[in-house]
Amino acid sequence: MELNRRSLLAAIGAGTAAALTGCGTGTGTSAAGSADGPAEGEITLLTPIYEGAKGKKLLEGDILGGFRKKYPDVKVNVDYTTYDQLNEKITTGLAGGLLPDVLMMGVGWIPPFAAKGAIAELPEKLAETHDYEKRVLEPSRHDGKLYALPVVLDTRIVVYRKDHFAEAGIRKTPANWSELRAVAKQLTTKGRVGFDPFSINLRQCWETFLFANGGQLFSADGKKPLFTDARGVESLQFFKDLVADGSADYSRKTDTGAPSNVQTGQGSMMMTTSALWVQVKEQNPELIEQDKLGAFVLANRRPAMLQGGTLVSQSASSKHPAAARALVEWLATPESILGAAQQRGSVPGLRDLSDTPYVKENQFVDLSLKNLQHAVSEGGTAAWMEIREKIVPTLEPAIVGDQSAKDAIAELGRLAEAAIGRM
Amino acid sequence: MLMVAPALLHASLWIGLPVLAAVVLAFTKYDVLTAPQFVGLDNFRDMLDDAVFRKSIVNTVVYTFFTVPFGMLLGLLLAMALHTGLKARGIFRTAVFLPQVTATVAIALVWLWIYNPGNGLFNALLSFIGIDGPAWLSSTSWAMPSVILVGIWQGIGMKMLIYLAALQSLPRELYEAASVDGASKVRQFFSITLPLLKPATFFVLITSMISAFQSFDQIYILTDGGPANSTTMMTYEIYKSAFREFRVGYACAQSLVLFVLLMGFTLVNRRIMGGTRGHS
Amino acid sequence: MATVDTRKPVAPSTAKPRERGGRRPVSPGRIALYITLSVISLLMVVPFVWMVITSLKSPVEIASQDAGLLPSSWQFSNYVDAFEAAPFATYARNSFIIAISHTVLNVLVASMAGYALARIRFRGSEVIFYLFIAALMIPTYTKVLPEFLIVRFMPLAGGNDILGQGGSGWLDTWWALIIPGAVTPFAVFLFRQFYLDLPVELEEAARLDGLGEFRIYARIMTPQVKPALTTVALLTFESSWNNFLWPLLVTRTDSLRVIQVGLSVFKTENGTQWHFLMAGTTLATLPMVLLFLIGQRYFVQGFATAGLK
Repeated sequence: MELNRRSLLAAIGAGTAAALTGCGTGTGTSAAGSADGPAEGEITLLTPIYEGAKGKKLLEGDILGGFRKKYPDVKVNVDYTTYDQLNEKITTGLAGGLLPDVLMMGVGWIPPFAAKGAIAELPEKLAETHDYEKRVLEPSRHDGKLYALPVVLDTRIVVYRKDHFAEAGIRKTPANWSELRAVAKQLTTKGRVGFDPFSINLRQCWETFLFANGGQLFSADGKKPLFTDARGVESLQFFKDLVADGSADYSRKTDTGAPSNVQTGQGSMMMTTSALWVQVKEQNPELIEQDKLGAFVLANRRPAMLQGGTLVSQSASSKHPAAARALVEWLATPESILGAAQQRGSVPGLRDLSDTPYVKENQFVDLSLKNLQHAVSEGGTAAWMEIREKIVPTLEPAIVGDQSAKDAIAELGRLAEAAIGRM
Repeated sequence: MLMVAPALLHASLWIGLPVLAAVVLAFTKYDVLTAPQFVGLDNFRDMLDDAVFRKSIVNTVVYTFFTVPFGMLLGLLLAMALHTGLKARGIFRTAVFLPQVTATVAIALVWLWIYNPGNGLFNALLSFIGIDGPAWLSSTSWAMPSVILVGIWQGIGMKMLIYLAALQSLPRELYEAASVDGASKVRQFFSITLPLLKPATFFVLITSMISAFQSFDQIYILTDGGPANSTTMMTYEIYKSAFREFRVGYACAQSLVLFVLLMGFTLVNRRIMGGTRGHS
Repeated sequence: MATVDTRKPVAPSTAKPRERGGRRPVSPGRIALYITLSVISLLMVVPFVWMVITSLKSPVEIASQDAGLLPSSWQFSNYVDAFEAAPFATYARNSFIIAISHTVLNVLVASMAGYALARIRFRGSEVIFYLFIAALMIPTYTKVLPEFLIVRFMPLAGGNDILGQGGSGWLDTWWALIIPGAVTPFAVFLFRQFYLDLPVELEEAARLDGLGEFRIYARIMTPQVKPALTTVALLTFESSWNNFLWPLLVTRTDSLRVIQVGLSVFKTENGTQWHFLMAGTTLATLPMVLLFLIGQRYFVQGFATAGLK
C-alpha cells in the first residue's frame, strides 16, 4: 500500500511536469528561420482534403510527383485528417509543439493563427505569382500581410429550378431582396417552398445576406463588431419575413448530403454551396441533362458570394522553412489546385483556369469563377474562432422562436465584444 | 493490493494526470497558442453569463432523466425474457445488441434519414395511419424527444448484456427452493432476482448515467445542439469550447462542473440504493 | 484477510443442464413473448436493415423520392468500389490488432483489480473504488489533450530524452494506439460488481486448501464470472474497433490508421457518398456481429458450469 501510494504520487508528479513543459514548448514558437536557404529536409503536410485512395493518388502521385522532381532533396510526409477532426489535430499539435510544417485549413482561421505567430508570413510576391482576384486573397491576409494561399474555394450561391421559374412565368433571377421575396412568394405553390435559405449552415447563410446588404462583420483592425447595425438586423429579419410569408420553412431544411429541396422539386430556390453540382450529378443527373438548374449570386445593395475553402500555410516553427515554403507554393499552382478542385467539386480560385473543361462543365463553379470580384469572406478578427461558434446558437432562436431579430443581433454583438475583449 | 496496482497505475497516468491537468487549467486562460495564464475564477464567472451552457446543463439532465430509467427497465425486461430457454434467443439478443456494436457516427447518419421530414421512414409510417409527422429534428419541441429515442435505442443493448451476464451468475438453487416453497414467479422476481441483481443494477445505473451525461456523437451528427440550443448538451459545449473556440481553460472549468454534478448524482444514487455491496 | 459480507445461503452444487423451451407444448404466454420480442427486435434492427438496403442502391435511387423500399437493381458493386476507396485491408488489420490487445489487457488487468476491490479488504479499497468511478466521469474531450501531451512527451521514447524533450515520444507508434486505452475503469467497476456476488464459501474452502490469493482469483473465483469476462471482452473489443478520434490524433502515417478513419472518406465537407458509406459500415459491423454471436454462447456455458470443479 505504502509503496503504491508513493509510486502513484511520483507518477503524478513526473507527468504534471511533462504536461506543463509541454504547454511551455508548444507556445514558444519563435519566428521561423529564413526561408531563403536551399529547399531540403523532411517535412510534414497536414491536410483535410485529398480524401481516400483517389485523393492520395492525386496528391502523392500527380501533385507531389512534380514537386519531387523539382525539389529532390525534400521528403514530404502527408498526415491526412478530416475536416471534422482538423481542429483537434491542430490543437494537439500546437500544444505538443509539433505543428506540421505545412498546414491546410479553412477560411477564417488565418487571422487567429497569424496573430499568435503560429503560422509564418509569406512574401508579398506570392500574391502576384498567379492571376488572383484581389478579393480571393482577403482571407489569406492578416494585418495586410500574406499568410496563406488558396487551394480550393467553395462559394455560397442561390440555385434555382428553371422549370419552376418558367412555369410561373418568371423571366429573370431576382436582383434584390424585394424581388427575391416576391418571387419566393409567387413560387410557393403546390406544396413547394419558394426559397430555402436554411439547408446550409445558418452562419454562412446570414453572413452572405449581411454582405449582400452592404454590411460588414468587423472593423478593419478586427477589434469592433460592425454587424450590429441596421444592415445586420435587416439580414436576419429577412429570414423572418420569408417565414412569415410562408415562402421559407425552417422545418423543411435538409441535411448535408441528403437530396436537397431543389433536387426533389420541393423547393424552387435555395442557398447552397458550389459543391451541390457534384451531388446533383450523382443523385439527379436528369436535372443537369434537362438543364433544369440555374444559379445566381445573391444581391441586395450589392452582389455577395460568400467564399469558403481550404488554404495552405506554413508553420512558423518549421525546421525546414525553405522546403515548407516551396511546398506551399507548389500546392497553390494552377495545376495543383485544378486537380484538388476537380476531386471534390470545388472552385479553383484562379481566372487562368476559367477555360478548362472542368470549369466549363460545372455550371456552379463556372458562375463562381465569373463572380470572384463579388467574393466576400468571414472572419477578420483574431477572436473569430470563438465568435463563429456563437453565431448559430444566438441567431437560431430568432428564426425558430419568438426572439426579435434586433435582440438576437444585439446579443451576438455582446458575445463578440466579450470574445474580442478576451484576446 | 498488488492486484489493483497495474490498473491503478494505468489509471493514474492516463486519467489521473489528465484530470489533474484539467483542474489546474480550469483556473487559467489557455488557447494552446500561448502559455496558460492564471486567471483565478474568471472561467467560472464567464460560465454564469453563458446562457447556452446553462441550457446545456438543463438539457443534459432532461436527457439523462428520460434515457436512463427507460433504458434500464427495458434492458432488464429483455434480459429476463432472453435468459429463458427461448428458441432463437441468440438472434433476439443479437438484434437488441446490434445498435451497440456499430459506430455511432454511421448509425446516427441513418437516423438522420429516418427522421427526415419529407421522405423519412418515420413520417412514412405515420402517414400510413393518417398522421402528418412533424420535422423531428428541426422542431424545438420534437428535437429532444427524437434524440432521447436514439439514446435509449442505442443504450439498451449494453444494459441488456450486463443484466444477462448477471442473471447467468445467479444461483439456481435459490429458485428451486423458492419453487418448492410455492412462491410465484412474480414473488421470486421481487424477493430473489431483484435483490441479487443489486450490484449489477448499481453498475448499470451509474455507468448509464455517466454515459448519458457524456453523450456527444448523436448530438454532433443529428442536431449540432440545435434548433435554438434545444438539444445542446454539456459535453458538446465542452468540445466546442476546447476544440472549436480554442478556450481550453474554459472547457476544463466546464468539465469540472460536469464532474461535480455527476459525482453528486452518484452519491445520491448510492444513498438511495443503500450501498453497493449486494444485498447486505 | 476477511472477505466481504456477501451471503449466499445455499452452497453451490452442480447445475443441471438447462431445459429447452421447445420441448414442452407451446403456451399462449410463450407465443405472446415471441411476438413481443420479435416486434422489439424488429424495431432495433430497422436502421440496420435500412443501412444494408441503402448499401445496395445506386445514388440516384437513394435520392429518389418515389423509389421502392428495395433496390430496383442490386448494386453489389458498391461493396467492391467502397473497398477500393481506401486501404481498408490495412485499416482493418490495424483495428483488429488494437482491439485484440485492448481486450486481452483489459480483461486481465481489470479483472484482477475488480477482484481485489471486491474480495480483499485493505485500507483505502473503498477510496480506490470511488476513484475508478470518478475516472469514468471525465469526458473524452477533456482528457484528450493532456493524454496527447503525455504520449508526446513520453520520456526516452521516439527520440525523447529523460525529460521527454527532443523527439516525438510515442506519437505515430503502436504504443500510443494501444497503451492509453488498454485498461478502462468501466471494466474494473464491472468486474468488482460481479465478484461481489460470489458466495464466500467458495473462497473459504480454497483458503483452507492453502491456496494463495492470486490462485484463488485465477483458479476459483474467475471461472465463476465467465459471463462478466465475456461481457467485458465484447464491450472492449467493440469500443476499440469503433474508436476514431484517438487513433487519428496520435498517428501521422497512413499505415497506422484504423477502419473508422477509412469510413470517414465517404463523408466529406462537400457531400456524402451514402451508398459507399453504408456498404463500408455494413462491412465494418459484420465482424462485430459475428463476434457477438460467438461470444454470447459463453453465457449459457457460464451458467452450466456455475459450480465447483
